[in-house]
Amino acid sequence: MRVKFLKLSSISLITSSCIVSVLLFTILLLTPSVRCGAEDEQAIILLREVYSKLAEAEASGADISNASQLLNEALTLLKSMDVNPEDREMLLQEAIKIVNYVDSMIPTLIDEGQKNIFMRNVYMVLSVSSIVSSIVLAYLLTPRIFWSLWLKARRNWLVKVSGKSGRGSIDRRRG
Amino acid sequence: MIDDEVKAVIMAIIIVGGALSISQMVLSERISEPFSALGLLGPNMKIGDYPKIVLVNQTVNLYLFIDNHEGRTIYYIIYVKLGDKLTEISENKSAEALILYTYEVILPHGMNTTIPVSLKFSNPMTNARLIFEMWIYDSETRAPRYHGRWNQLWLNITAPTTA
Repeated sequence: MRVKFLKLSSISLITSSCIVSVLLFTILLLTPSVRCGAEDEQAIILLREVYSKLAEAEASGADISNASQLLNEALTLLKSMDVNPEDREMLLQEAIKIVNYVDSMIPTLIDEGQKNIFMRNVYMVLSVSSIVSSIVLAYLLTPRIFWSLWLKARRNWLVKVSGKSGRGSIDRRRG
Repeated sequence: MIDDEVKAVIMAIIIVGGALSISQMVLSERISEPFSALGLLGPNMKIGDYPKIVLVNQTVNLYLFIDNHEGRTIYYIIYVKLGDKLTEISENKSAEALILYTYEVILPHGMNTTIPVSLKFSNPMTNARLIFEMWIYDSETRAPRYHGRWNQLWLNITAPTTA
């Protein structure tokens, strides 16, 4: 009875060790591709996260045209990994490098954007106030300027009072 | 010295001119009707010469034209789906069909791009409907969202004849 038990246990031990080794082998075989897929996914998630930050920066007034161009370049690199599987790792690293660089640019872009918004508001207020003041000045000064010019243009004129008495009929310039 | 009527006319001209200048300044940067455009171009990068019959595993070369006038930078995702005459699609509802390919591009406002598209089909199909859907990555919800723009190309995918 004891011998039989030992025999059974040794068979099950061998079987289970075989199953474990097959499982381990399978996991080892599958790991690189799974890891590659996960890395791609991670890179896309990172890129989209940085894009979201860029969109927020743009909403707060930042000029993100260069940053978005770089991000698009990173996206193109990530998409070209399927076409060039031999350069996969290099393309992935390059894309992640660009994405991280863009991510590091964002605080500076936001600062510049806020400065730009401030300057734009100042410019707007100055422009509006200058337009309004020019309206007021035009209202006040236009008649004076007009009449002073009118008088200057006619300062050499002689005026004759014309009437029924016939003391003069026309104006004429002096000299 | 100057008539009141003339004064009123001058004042009106100045005020209207001033109001126009101010409104131009304030409204010049606003986008009144934001939109995105999606175009499908043939193999010669023109509208036309689209293939109608293709072989299984034959490469079909087309071009996608994407134009951004949304007033902000947009992350576009174009899904290429394979449907048929029963596949429903509208501006509000995307097609429930198999996604064959995905193209992604980030475009600033006022920019456009033309993407080369190479497609292959593994199975023969009659009246295949190749659908190009425009989605955008929504930075608020952090997820792609159907943008209501789509194009389609009807194809007959035939198996190559063996001699």
